[in-house]
Formats: sequence, structure tokens, C-alpha cells
Amino acid sequence: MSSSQTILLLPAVSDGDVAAFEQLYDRHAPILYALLLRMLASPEDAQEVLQEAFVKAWNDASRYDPSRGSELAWLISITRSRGIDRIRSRKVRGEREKDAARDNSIRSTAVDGMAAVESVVAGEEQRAVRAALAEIPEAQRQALELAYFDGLSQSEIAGKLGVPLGTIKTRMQLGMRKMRERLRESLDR
Amino acid sequence: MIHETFDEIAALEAVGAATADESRFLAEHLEGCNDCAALARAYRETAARLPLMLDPVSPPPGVRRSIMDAVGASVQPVTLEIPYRPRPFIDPRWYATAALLFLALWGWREVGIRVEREQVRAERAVAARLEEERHLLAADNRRMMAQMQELAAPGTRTIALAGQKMAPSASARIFMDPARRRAIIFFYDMPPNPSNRSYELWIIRADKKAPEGAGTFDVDPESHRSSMTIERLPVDTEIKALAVTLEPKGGVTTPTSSDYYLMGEAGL
Repeated sequence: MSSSQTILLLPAVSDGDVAAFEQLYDRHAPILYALLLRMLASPEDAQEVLQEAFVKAWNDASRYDPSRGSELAWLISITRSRGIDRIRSRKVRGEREKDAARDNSIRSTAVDGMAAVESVVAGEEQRAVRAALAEIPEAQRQALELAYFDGLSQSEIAGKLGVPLGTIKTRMQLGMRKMRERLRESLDR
Repeated sequence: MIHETFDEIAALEAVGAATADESRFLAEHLEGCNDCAALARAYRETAARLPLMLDPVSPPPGVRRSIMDAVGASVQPVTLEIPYRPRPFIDPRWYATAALLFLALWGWREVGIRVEREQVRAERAVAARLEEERHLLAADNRRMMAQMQELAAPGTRTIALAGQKMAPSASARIFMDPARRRAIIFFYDMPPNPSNRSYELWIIRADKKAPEGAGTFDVDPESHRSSMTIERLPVDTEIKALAVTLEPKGGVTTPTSSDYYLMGEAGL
């Protein structure tokens, strides 16, 4: 994930620089919040988990290794992991059924759009991702999204979509392969 | 060279859909396969871009404030959920007191258990003794019933013994069943015999000069009564009289004294 146009903030954060941490939040919180809204379908849960994720980032900033990926990729990893934890704890409580009903209202809560995050996600990169996803067949994309955003296992996805497990594996492999190739072509240009 | 199986698992693993076994299998393979390791990294980077398909959404301002409040006051690690609380100092004497209290309670419990065990043992002993007494009483009852049946038998004969100079008020009644050659004897108002002596019943036969011992008995010191049963009586026509003397404990073969306590003719 490219971050060449941005200054790395996590090294300063690891030194206790609160101002750097504020910048980090302003830069990445919108995409992370969008991720959590997509995963959790609940603004309250998404806000709670976002706080947890940023506090973890504050505490673990010294562990960030720039050679292994961008700051955003690192933050996404932390945030998604926390989101999956929340989904699993929710499954125990049986609250997951409300997701579908909330989905539409959450999508409409998006505010400011790119204006708020123009420095967060390079437009070029986002366009590349969207373009790559657009080229993936709907069935493959759906399987990837259920795994990545909803935290479903292969067998859960197979059950949900009513297709054989082997088919799901193949769809995800083909989808990931195509997306990887398209992104490499786009971002290497 | 990319291995097709691991290509698939790496793709699944990147989006969090690999099973635990598949992830372990992949990790073991990646340690020795640089090509597949590079592919797995590429898949992870690809998956990390998936959120970019979403429209960014600004969180409410309160979220930012909460996070900054949490981290702003300190450069130390913080947590939102469980604030650090120093462990309170506990005086070691409290531990000693707690240990003593525990030992005392444990000892009390042990004593209680032992007392209860003793009680159970004692109660079991009482129950065993009562059971034994019940058996004895039942046996007595059966014996008494048998004796009463004998006493009520049509051929039973009765012989009365009268007190002599050693026990003028004493008496005895003999119920004899000639057919079975058995007899049951009840003694009344007899003086209690010393512990080293016992009374002996003698059968004076018509066909023999010397009395024949029929058995010994002891008298109950409180009721002054006793009873005895004789098996294998001589034929009733041979019994001339019956008498009782006080003899050494266990009885003798011939009377040691002519001091009779009871005597009576058979009258047969």
C-alpha cells in the first residue's frame, strides 16, 4: 500500500508525540471507521472499536515496521482484528441478525466523502482498488467481502450462499489472484 | 515455483478465511518456499486494500476527543477499558492471620468429621446390638411358643415340687411329655444361688439306687425364679421322685448333701 506521499507518523507516536497521533487519527480514522461500519453495521459498536484500535495503536506504535507495509495497512490490520473480535462476541450474543436492516442507513451516514480524507487515501490508489474490484465477477467479489468484512469462514460462506465449499475456495482464490494482478498493473504504472 | 495448493490457501488466509489447519499447513510450507512466501505477502497486501473500496466516513467528533483524552495526558501506555490500579499493600500479618484462621477452621472441620464418624460407629454398634437382641428375643419367642404348645399337649403330665427345710416357701412345677421324653420345669421363690454354686435337679428312679442328675440351673436374684428343659428323660414309669440340691458350680454326678431345697414324688 503506497504511502510515499505522506510522512510517517508512527515513529513519532511511539515516542509519545500526541500531536503526531492526532495527525495519524485525522489521516486514517475515516477509512477505518468506514471499515468498522461495514463490518459491524452499528455506529455505536464501530465507534467503540475505533477507540480501542487507536488506543492499541498508541500503545503498540513502536512495533510498527515500515518495511512490512504502510501505516494504513498496519492500522487496518489492527482495526479489522478488533472488528472480527467484536463480530465473534456478538455472534455469541446472537445480535448479528440486525445487520442487514441497518446496512442501508449506515451507508447513508457517510459524510464529507473524499474531502475529509483526501490526504488519507491517495485517490489514485482508491481508484485502482475500485477498478480492480469492478473487474472481478460478482460471485467472487461477494465471497471475498463476506470473508474479509463479515469475518465468515469458508463453510459459513458456502452455507450462506448455498454453494459447495470447493466452489467458494475457488471463487476466493480467483478473485484474489485477479485483484492482485490488476492492482500490480495499476500501481506499478 | 508457486505451488497451486498453497496459492489457494494463501488467498484464503489473506482474507481470513483459511481454517486453522490450512493456516498451519501454509505457515510450515512458507518457511521453506520463498516463492510461495512472496505470493502470500502479495495476497495480504491486496487484502489490506479491500477497505479502500469503501467510502470514507468521518467518525463523530466525540470519538476523537475520547481517544485524545485517553492518550493526551500521558505518554505511558493506556487502555480504555481497564484502568491500571496499583495492587494494594497487604500486611504480611494478615496472611499469617488468614493462615491461622484457615488452619483453625480446617482443624475444627476435622474434629467435627471425627466426632461424626464416632457417632456413626456408636450408632452402628447400638443397631447391631439391638439387632442381636431382636434375634435372641425372636428365638426366645419361638422357644416359648414351642414350650406352650408342649404344655398344652394332651399327654402332658404335671408334677409339683414342694419347698423343703432349706427353702420352705419355694416350689416348682414340672410339665412332662412322656411321648417325647421331654420336660419343662418352672421354679418359684427360690433363694438366689451363690456365684460359685448352682442348683441341680435330681431324678430318683425306681430302678436305680443313686439319684441321677438331670441338669443345673441358676436363680434370678430379682425374681427368685428360674426354668429349665430336660431332654431324654427316663421312661416316666421309672421316675419315682424329683429333688433339688445346691451343688458346686456346673453340677456333680451325685448329690454332695442331703439338704434338699425342693422335692416331690412323681406319682406316676
